[in-house]
Amino acid sequence: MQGFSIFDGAMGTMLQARGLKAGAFPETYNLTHPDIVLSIHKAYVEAGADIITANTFGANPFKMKGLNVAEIITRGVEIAKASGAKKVALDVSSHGALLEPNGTLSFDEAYQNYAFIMRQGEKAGADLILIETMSDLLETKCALLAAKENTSLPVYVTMTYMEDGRTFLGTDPVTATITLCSLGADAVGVNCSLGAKDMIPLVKTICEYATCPVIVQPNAGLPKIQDGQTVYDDTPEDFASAMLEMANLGVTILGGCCGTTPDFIRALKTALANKTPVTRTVKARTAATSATKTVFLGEGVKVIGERLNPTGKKKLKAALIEGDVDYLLHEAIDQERAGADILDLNVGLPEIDEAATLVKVMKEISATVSLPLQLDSSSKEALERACRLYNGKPIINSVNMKKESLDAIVPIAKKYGATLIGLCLGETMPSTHEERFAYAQALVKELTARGIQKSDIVIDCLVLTIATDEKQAEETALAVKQVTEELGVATVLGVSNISFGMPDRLKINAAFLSKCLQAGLSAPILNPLVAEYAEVLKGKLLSLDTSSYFTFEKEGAEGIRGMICCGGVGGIEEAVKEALKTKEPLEIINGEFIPALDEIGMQFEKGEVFLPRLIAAAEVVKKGMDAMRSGEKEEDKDPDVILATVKGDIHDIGKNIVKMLLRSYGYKVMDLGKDVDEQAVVDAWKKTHAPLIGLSALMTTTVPSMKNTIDALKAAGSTAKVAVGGAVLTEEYAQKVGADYYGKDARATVKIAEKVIRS
Amino acid sequence: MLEAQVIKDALLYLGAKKQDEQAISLLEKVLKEYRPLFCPRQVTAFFRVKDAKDALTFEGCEITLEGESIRKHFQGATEGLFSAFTLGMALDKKLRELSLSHPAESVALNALGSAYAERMADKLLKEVRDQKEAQGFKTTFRFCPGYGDLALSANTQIAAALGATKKIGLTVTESGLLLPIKSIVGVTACLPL
Repeated sequence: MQGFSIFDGAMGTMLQARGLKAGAFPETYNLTHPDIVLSIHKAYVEAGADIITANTFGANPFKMKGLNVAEIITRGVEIAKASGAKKVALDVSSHGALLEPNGTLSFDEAYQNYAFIMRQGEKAGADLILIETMSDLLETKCALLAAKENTSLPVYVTMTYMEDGRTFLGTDPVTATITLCSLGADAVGVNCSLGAKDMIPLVKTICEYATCPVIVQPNAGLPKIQDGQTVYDDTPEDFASAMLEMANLGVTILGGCCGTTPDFIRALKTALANKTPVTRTVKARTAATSATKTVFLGEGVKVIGERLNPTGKKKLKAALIEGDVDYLLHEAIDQERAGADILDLNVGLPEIDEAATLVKVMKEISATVSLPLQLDSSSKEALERACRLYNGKPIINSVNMKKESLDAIVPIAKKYGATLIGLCLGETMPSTHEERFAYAQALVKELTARGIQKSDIVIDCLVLTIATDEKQAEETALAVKQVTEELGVATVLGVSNISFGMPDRLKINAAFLSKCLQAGLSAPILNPLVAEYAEVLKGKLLSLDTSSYFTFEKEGAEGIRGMICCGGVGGIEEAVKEALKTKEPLEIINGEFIPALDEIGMQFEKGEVFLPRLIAAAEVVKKGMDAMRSGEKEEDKDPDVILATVKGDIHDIGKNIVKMLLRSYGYKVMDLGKDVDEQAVVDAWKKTHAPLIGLSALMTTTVPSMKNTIDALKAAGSTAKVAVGGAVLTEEYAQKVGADYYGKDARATVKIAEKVIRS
Repeated sequence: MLEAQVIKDALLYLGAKKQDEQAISLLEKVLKEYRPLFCPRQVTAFFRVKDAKDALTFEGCEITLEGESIRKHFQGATEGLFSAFTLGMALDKKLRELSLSHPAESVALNALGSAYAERMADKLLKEVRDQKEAQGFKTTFRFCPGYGDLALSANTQIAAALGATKKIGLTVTESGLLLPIKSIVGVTACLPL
């Protein structure tokens, strides 16, 4: 069985059989019962395991507060080495907590913990690192980076998938395999959750995509409860026969997980006795991934949404400057619903800290939509930081043939396994298709020489406007054709650049798109919400239906007031425009909007209408306000209200409803988000002197954060009134934490705002 | 049957005091569309009561439950049936998206998720309780950390003893909150008849 590596089987199962309590840390046995741990390792060595996994699975300072984790890891590795194993693996797994923004653990904190574990393991003499039983792709990436950056050991990585073929956080095996291989894992695969037989389809998929060796560690079948104990239903023979099938698919590193014993490993060893590893052929493909989705470029047309780019977009620019992430999330969701496959993300503005903003927005978008992102920046710092924290394999837009660009961008793409767009540009601007192709050829040569896989290169043939040279459309399309056919790499184009300075832009863009698609363009960068493009893409894009979400009957909806009360969004814009012909905006607000909101608010208070209806009314008002403001300059003033969900709490649905209603009453609201530090609230008040601050908390455990925030505000000399709200709060609680007002619900909070601000 | 109950419960959560037809039709539409995102998973384990004098402790696990409420709940009990349940992360993500794109739907889905989680967790737990009752036990309702004076921190211990993170993807934050959002952790007392 030359060429296979055999891992050991379960440790936890064996320790529980020897008295380990449920919920206790098995790793503490390294200090308290080293003899038991050693005897288990030895049993696996005798059964034929080549690699012994140290008893360090959960040894993490985050979980083991107050314990000597360094010593537990050191002893764990030492005991494993004393078993006589050929090699010892440092065992590493999840923190058991979710990373931001799904949970509260920061990437940096997780990284520090992992770095500590990896360094400790290498120092103790581990031969390799096994990162296993992972569900969260971002946490896995964090652990892999910590291993690579802090040790020189090989790193094997396995994820755990449910019966539906996804991890608990929704990652599929194609996405995990592509992402982890790109990040330089030395072996990737699957462990735990399933029995060996049920794992075969997953393993088949992994073998099709893994550019490194594949590792498999199944459970001993499915768990069953028998007399209050967990037992597994596979025999060693069942296990070994399924493992042999996986070896035939090309798996070369094999072992067991929960429920497996030395008998399973012995049976595995016997089954592989006369086998030699099967050679796999893996097709090189150009891909980008999010945490839950992989998009292949160069295989059918893929649409890259262009709307998250402030160039020429006033509202987006304002949102970026104000830190209004919600606006960007709306743009992301709209593009996903309109059929975009990938979203380009550019936040470059001189007024803001690009690196910090790119990371913040990227995290929120990744947590909200499922599409892979194309990180669009010329800042080395912004790209480095964003690629590091990105949950998946991003696309970088872009590098060009200028030396400073190559030196800055290529190392980032290489380190983080990103797909890299090479822009046909250098010291000179290309004009003809020959010049473009020459740049493309030089880029492929230079990037591969610098260590980028050819399949990770995408070429942008550079679109220049026809306003100054009408031949540009033809030249660009020709270049796309030549690059596709002669270089065999995928292509992207920023389609709408073709019509800068021209009238009838959509018409020109659509025709140009059509031309480039015929030339073989892989991925146009465009606005997926434009119907003209959708037609050209021949049904590949779905149109966005904005009217589908409110099903309220519009019966009896007459006039602006009626429309608001009925919650039907259709027609409000026209109605407002019509009213503006005879009335002042303030008249409409005071005479129509506010009375309607009050009316529906009263009905809500009486329990005659339900919450979504109140929200629907607020949405109609928002549309009406937008229609009133269109063409006007955005009012430049400090916020009336600062809102935040307090530190430690991540529930923000209630706060968001309050925000929406306040805005529809015309208040300017600054939303600091959820899990907000006390200091951030203080800083926001110092900056704006908003007269009202609203704090929300859903859980009793986070109410103290509310008090701390109010105390901090008072200590900082704040004169703002503070209103608090949230499911567990009461009038009494509100007084206890030192708040000025208790906002029972969104409607009550509006009344508070009226009292504080308008009186 | 389950769906009708879930919609009824969700109406209550939304504070609809009357038979609001609009609310019902929205809830029906949202439930139909997003039901596939609900991914109910449960893990349970029985542990025998070891000591009930001061704090409740159990054999074979590291769970200590403190407080007057849980002590009363366990009066006469010899075993605890510990359970953890979750609807999964996909729902959390959809709620986040809808709260921006379709706020009314997000509020409806939030209420439906809570209602569905309660009903489904009860249903799954009932199967385990029925088995225990067939063995001559009376089982109580599920008592959750946060009820009475049982601290939320008990969530962490129970989840750890059940291996809930590894088995069903349930995590507990440092402040004792459960993630995914629609998750339930609790204990049922088993009293010999």
